[in-house]
Amino acid sequence: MMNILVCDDDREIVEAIEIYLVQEGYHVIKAYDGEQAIRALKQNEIHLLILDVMMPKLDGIHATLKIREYSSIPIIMLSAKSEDADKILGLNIGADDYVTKPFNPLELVARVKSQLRRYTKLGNLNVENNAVFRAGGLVINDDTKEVTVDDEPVRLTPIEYNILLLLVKNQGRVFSIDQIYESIWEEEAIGADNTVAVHIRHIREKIEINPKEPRYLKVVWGVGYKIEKQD
Amino acid sequence: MKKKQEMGKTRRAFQTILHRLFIAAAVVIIVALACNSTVTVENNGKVYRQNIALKKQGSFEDSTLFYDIFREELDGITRMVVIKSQLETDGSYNGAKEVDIAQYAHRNEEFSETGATARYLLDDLIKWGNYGLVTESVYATQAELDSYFATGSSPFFMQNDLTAGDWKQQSESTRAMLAQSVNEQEEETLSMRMIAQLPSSREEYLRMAESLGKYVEEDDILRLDILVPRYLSAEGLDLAEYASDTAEYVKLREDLRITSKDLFYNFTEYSGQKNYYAASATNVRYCYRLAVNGEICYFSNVEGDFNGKKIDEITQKFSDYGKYVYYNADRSEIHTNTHIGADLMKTVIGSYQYAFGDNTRVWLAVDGSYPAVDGFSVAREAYNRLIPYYLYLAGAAVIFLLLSLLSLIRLTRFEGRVATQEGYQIALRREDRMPTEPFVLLGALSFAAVLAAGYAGYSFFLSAWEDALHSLWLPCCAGVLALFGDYVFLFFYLSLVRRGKAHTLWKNSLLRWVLQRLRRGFLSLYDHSHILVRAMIPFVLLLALNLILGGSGVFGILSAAVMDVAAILLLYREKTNLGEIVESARRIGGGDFSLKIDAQKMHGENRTLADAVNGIGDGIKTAVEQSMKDERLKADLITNVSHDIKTPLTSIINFVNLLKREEIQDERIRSYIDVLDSKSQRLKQLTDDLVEASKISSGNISLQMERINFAELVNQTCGEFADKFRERCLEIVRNMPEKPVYIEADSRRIWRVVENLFSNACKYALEGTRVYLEIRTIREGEREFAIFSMKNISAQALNIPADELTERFIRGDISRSSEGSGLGLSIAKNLTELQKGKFEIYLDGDLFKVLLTFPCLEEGRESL
Repeated sequence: MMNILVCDDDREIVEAIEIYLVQEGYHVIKAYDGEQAIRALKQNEIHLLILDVMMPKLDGIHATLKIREYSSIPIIMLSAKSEDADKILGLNIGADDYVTKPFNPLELVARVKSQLRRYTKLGNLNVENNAVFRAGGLVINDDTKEVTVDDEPVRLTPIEYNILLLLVKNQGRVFSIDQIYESIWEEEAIGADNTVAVHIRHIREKIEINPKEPRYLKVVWGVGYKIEKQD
Repeated sequence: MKKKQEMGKTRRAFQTILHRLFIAAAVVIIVALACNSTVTVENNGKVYRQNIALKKQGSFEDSTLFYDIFREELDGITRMVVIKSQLETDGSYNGAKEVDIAQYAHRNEEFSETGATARYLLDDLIKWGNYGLVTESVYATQAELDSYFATGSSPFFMQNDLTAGDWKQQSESTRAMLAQSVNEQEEETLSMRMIAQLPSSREEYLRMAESLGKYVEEDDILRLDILVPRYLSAEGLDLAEYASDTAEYVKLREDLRITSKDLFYNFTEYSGQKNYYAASATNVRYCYRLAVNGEICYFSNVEGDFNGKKIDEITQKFSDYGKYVYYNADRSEIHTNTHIGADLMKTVIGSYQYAFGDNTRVWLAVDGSYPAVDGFSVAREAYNRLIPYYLYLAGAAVIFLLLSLLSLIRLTRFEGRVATQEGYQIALRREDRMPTEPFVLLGALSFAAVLAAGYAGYSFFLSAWEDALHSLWLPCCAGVLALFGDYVFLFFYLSLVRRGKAHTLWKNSLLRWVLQRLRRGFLSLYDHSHILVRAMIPFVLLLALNLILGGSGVFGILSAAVMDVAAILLLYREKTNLGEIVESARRIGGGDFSLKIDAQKMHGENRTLADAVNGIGDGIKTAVEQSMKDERLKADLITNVSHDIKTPLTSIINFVNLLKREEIQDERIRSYIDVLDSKSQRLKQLTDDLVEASKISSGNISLQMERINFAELVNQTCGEFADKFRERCLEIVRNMPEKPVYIEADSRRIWRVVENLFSNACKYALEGTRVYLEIRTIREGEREFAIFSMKNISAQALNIPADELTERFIRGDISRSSEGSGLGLSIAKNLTELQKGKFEIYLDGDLFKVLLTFPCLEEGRESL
């Protein structure tokens, strides 16, 4: 049984999140400000923390800073502030994920799952196989042609698979549409249409929790695509 | 070690006192020297001064003072000797001496005519000179007078009886004389006879001639002054007896007159100063050897008989006195141990040439023991009192002056400095605040007053105290006065020094005040007059002055030139200021609102203009700043409001989602929930767009520009939207260049622009139509531009102007009802323009056309 601490000054939000998480089989502990959250964290064994930023008494940023002094549990930040600067600040001070309000509850649940899987399984990785490629939670086994994201299997078409494999093999490198086309179809890309772009879109929809804010397959607009190099 | 930069009060007082003492000492010495450098000698009744200070001199006997007194004495002695030779015989006055009047009267003439002469006794002549010569006028013809002198009588006037004469015409004294001579002398003198017999006026003569029946021309009547014979000659004769005619008589009479007068004068001098050159009264010893009436005589104030003594012996005797002179007049030869030269002797002796004939020898000496009180001894005393110390004293004075100068320099250097933590500063005193000119004037007056007091004191000293000049009181008093004078001097001088250091010398002067007042007055007059008056009056004045001055000579032309140059300089300054204003106005117009013109230095209309331009700049600046601020405030407000909206919205969305997961069978309720779902999603979209739009329009975002392949971007976007387009049965028709088209842009922002356009097309294009995409490059001059165009057919009629589509919250009326915030195009346009692109919308019927234009990045160039 996983214990998840949900902290937000808006009681209805906490309640809604609780319903979703309980449905998924988690045990939820509730808190309504930063101080309560820190107390609850000390009193219970907590596996994941969902923390609002703007709260009375102790806000999410300062609470995170305090928690990070002694704990490395996953923290998902929840905030109405959607600016880049806000997101960067939250991630920099120790949050593992940043979800902006209003959020899709299903997306939040997916992120919770992802964080928990990483947190609990990161320690005991399988013996590395030459044919296995990883990018964070994204794992491609080229022998079995299996793709998993946070241990969830993903179904890809052969072309999608090849494109993803190319990008994962060359993590961090940006491939233009033409380059991808030429290496997958192995023919010159004359008047290449939007085939590659459409495939990329499909891949993203399959492997990302929120395709508009991809974690793995990033679009570098006007340049190409890449798999973000993960820690 | 750091030297002290300032002077304490005690040190300053000490230095001041030192300076005063030095000055006073120098003044004492200088005054003492000045007073004593002039030796006043009273000699032989004459007072004369000798400046002895400035010449280098040894002993008194070698000094010019000695020389001058000696020369003076030589003159006097020589004259005295000459007089003595005339009046004395064997060293004493001899009244019975006979004097040849013609020889004496003409003694100064080198060649005297030999003619009639007479010898009189010295006593008689002196007495005659004393009482004066009396004459009586007689009138007769030349022949009658000559006959008197030749024969002793006249053929016409034979009146031997003197008693019977008509005496009425003669004066009282002559009558007495005649009466006496008639009574005492047996023989009447010729002069008396002539006086008695000849008529005493022209009219009487004519009467007598008429009575005698004789006719005489009036012009032939002569007048002759006959000397009343008070004394007779040594031979006992009347002067008239010596004359053989009238001319001779006149000559004799004049000779007698001169002789008696000169001898009397000499006699008075002789009797007055006979003893002046006596051995007891003077330190000069003299001996003159000269021939008097062919006999060798010695005149000397030295005891002893020189007769028969050899010249060498006498010379020896005189050289024993000390300084001596032996002069041989015959050969102009001189033996001496003084500075007296033969020339001087010759000049002095030569002026009495008549007295010094052949064999004249002169010995002179000054008794070195100075037994008598005379000019020499007085001068020697004064000389010796000072001269030996003169150089030392002068040196001391110079040293004291230098020392005082030194202390003055020290005072000057440290004056006014007051210690502070950083070093020192200049402090002013109360008197330093007085305006400079009156202060200087006051100083000059005070100093003059001190000098005047000094002079008055000096005059008082001299008049009240006989030997004041040589006393020590005068220098001492001068010293005291110098102390006081230096106090005054330092007071004013140091104040000026302080002013100079504090730069208030000019600042605090009346002249500056007056000039400033004039300047201010002129400027205010200038500033407050009408613009035309300001321009025209100076011009007319200048023209008039030029005309007037130009016609009045070189000086006028020169001053006109100076005036014109000044006018040109003023005009230049005026125009420079104007240029500055124009330039500033231009720059303000160009957007530099914070620019300020320095209006303080300008005057007249330039000042007004500059102030106005500054005002305009200020106004624009304030307006721009205000609008920026408003824009930012609006953005902040929208952001904050949207945050507040988002929190309840989150709950709504969450619970709507929960409702959706309930297995609700009722179709109606499910449709309600769908509405709630879509509207809450729209609200979410709306708040996000609102925040973004307000941020973009207030320029409150930062861009990260990089190199972007525009064609790749469009392809990527096509890929993203492919499914959505397919759902709406929209066909994309692309016309892309084969080569990459590079532009500079922020990749996420430009994606947002293109995404907005695509989603726009997706939402509003008529189903089943085609959407045309095109990228092409055009060249405009130097630059190359990439143009992206998107054309589609609107599903609804577009009944509004194109530019209103990009205004916030404005959409085609009918499309308002569909999804979207209406901010899409507005955001796209603003973002495009932030990235230096151009965003244009064209509406032609149902054709909707968007053009995006960006400047191309040149090949090979990474970024601009």
